[in-house]
Amino acid sequence: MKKLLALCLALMLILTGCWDKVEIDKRAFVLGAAADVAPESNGNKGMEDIEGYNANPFMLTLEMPIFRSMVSQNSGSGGGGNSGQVKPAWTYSSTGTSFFEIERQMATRSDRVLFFGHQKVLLIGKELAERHNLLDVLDFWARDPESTRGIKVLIADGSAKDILSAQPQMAQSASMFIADQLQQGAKTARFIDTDLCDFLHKLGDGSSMLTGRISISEDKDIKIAGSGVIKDGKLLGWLGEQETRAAQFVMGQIKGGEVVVRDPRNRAVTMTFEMYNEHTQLKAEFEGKRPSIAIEIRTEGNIAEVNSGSTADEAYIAACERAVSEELEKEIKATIDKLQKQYKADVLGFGSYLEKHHNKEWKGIEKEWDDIYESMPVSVDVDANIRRIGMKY
Amino acid sequence: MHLSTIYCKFKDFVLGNNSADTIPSAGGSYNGIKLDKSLDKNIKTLQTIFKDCDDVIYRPFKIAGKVKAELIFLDGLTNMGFVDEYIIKPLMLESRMANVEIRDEDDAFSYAQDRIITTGNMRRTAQLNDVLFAIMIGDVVIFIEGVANCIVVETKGWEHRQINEPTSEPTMRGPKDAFTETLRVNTMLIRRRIRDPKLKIRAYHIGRRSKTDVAVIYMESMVNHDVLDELNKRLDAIDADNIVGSAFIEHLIEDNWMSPFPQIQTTERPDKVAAMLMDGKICIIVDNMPFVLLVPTTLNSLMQTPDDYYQRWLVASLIRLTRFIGSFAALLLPSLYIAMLSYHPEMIPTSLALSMAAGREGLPFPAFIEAFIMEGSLELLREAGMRLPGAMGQTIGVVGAIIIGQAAVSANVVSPAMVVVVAFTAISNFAIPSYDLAISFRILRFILMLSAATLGLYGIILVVMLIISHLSVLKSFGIPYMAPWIPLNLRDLKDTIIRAPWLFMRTRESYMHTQNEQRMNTDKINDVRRQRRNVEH
Repeated sequence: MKKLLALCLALMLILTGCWDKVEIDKRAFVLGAAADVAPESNGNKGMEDIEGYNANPFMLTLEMPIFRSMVSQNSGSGGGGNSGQVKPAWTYSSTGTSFFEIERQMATRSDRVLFFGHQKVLLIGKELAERHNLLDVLDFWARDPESTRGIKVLIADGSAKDILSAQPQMAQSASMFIADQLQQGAKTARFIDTDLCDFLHKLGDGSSMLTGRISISEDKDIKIAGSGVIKDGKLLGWLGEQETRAAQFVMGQIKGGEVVVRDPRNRAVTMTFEMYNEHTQLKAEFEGKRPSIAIEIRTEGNIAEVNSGSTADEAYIAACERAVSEELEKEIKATIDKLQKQYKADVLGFGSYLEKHHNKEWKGIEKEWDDIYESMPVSVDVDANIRRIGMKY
Repeated sequence: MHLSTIYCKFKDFVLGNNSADTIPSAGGSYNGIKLDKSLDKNIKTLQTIFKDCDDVIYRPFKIAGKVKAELIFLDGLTNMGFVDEYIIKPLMLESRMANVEIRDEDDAFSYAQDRIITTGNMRRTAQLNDVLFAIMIGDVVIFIEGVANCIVVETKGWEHRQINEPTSEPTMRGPKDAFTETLRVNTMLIRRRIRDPKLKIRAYHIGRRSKTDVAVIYMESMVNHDVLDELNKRLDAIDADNIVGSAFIEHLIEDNWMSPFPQIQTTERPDKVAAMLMDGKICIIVDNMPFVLLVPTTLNSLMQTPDDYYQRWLVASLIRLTRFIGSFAALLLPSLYIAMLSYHPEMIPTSLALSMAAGREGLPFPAFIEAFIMEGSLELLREAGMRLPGAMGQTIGVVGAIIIGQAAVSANVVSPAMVVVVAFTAISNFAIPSYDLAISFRILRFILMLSAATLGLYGIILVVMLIISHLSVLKSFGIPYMAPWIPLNLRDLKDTIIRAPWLFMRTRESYMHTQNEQRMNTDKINDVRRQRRNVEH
């Protein structure tokens, strides 16, 4: 009896879980995916018979590296005359009613098992983001055990498929290019970096958020800059590059970047301030039920470039600091104004700040928050400090 | 069925269910037989016993030209020059010159013993048994007419190997002498290092027919007597015709013969043995084997080399750290490779995963078969390299590693990453200082590869847990094999993965339960240093 029990216990050890042995070379590594609305003309493969359902609403494009081309590149010291002709990555797209359905359709066209464990990016087309709740679009990736929460999610200004199909010169595939490009946050604040985790967290809370914008130029250059404003799970519109920077200042996310202002000594030329450090503090005050928020931002940085030939004396540095502060204050105010009046979206997290720090008052205004937000007074105070003036002197 | 029952059945099957009394006793039949007074009778007895033993030499002569005597020894084991010069010559010639009155045979006997034979080690005996053994180990036996005793003179001297450099355990800064096949030389090498009467060398003759000399050596003031008693008990219980080297004894006295881990350490370095004796361990030297046994053994002691103590502590600690990392790599690397490639590609960094997948593009075998082919051929190369004569062995190693590896990659049989893994594993395996432990790691490596192929990383974890739990219950002569990690003793960690400076190693390992735990007294040194500091400030 005891032995039987021991045997059962031992079996429990080895019979649990699922068997998912697939050799690495039998897998197709999905590096990036692009979700779009299916084009109108294409519409006869899915489940049309589900009543009241818009057949084939989604189009999914997957990018996978072609290993054969990597092999021929590696061993191509003498014999590889045709290595240039093999595409480094393969994009496949199909339409369907659900993303899972599309993924399984892939099995009819591939000798390999799709593997999402190394997916780097997920691009969502503008049209899809405007028409569908993103939480529903992302549901497949949220449920799939293979995909990680670190997948970068970006909204494409246009068709997401076009971007994924572009082949960047420097990188092996568009997805790898995008994933690596997003590491440039310390150099510029012109884009915003959001991953699947942010989306599920923010959209799950029902709050608004900013997300990265990706676009492609005429000559197939991929560019990640600016941001998309998402409210109630849908894309409302865009913030420009400088507006994105301003928004990130308020959220305290700046890791680096540059600010160009008019030179205080010669208004015809510019002075460039390189920031490397930033600290943001919000303060809220209540007048009865009406909150007002004061934003205090301290930033530190260097003088990166001066075109006026001024010597960096104390007065000049102080003037520069003032100029940078004023410029930033102006930009931030304008951006907040745009978000309040035009988009009516609380993407900067004022609501969650009030919820956390003034919970008692927040309980009273939570219901009317959307109205209050639009007209809430916000003051901005930026204090820029120049710490170094460069190697010139 | 219980394991021990299987073991018993297996043992009966292998050994043909031999109990001890079925082994015919060899020397036993002459037990208790005394020598005779008559020289002729004695010689005749010996000639019957040594029938067809043509290397036994009989040399009759007369002491002082009067008393009949005969000298018997074994050709080849006896120092002939010594016998001629110091035994036969004095007995035949100098006794005559001394012109001593020999009245009877008894007189001749005491005369020979007391005044003629000028060698250091001699004794008298009346037992036939004793005489036979003396002849077999290379001593000269002198029979004298009319005496029921004989003189045994120690004249051992045979061709033997010089003390050479240790081949399996070389060091950078350590002494360059190694044990030889001669037991006496080996005990000498130890005595030279520990000049203390508390160093005990207890002699055993094990093997009914081979009568192999076995010496048990220990420091009486350090040794844990429980361990010593246990060892003596196990040695006494050995009853076999022949002792096939020290490995035979090792197998018969080890705690768990089913375990893949060696529970008895072997070494050919006298300096290591001396250090271990001082830590309360017991050394077993078997004649005709240059490898001596050390008990009790812990996994930790198998991971140490003498160089650790000859280097400065920082260097030694770094080297040890490398060694531990290497041993983990030797154990786990191929199985991790299989598990990651077949089950968990998401655990490999993306660009590495892509290049690995690209490297495997178009390969015929799954990762597991690939790994088995490569690891198997490595074992084959190792075995073949052992068999080949010295210079050729190295050539085969190079040919095997580079040519076959490269060819296998170009022939699209294995991936380049696999060759890297196999090569790294092989190198890591050589970082394990104990050859016995390295072999057990090789066995476990294949088990781990199998478990990785069936259950992935989960399988590896299961087997590693199994290994760790086995190691935690394993004991060597009552001392936990994993000490001082299991059971954990923080104070004893000073000589494990790091080798603490000597000043911090004041005490011996507590898990050894030695009688004297203090290794050194640092009070004086600290005083001197303090004074020096005060002067400087």
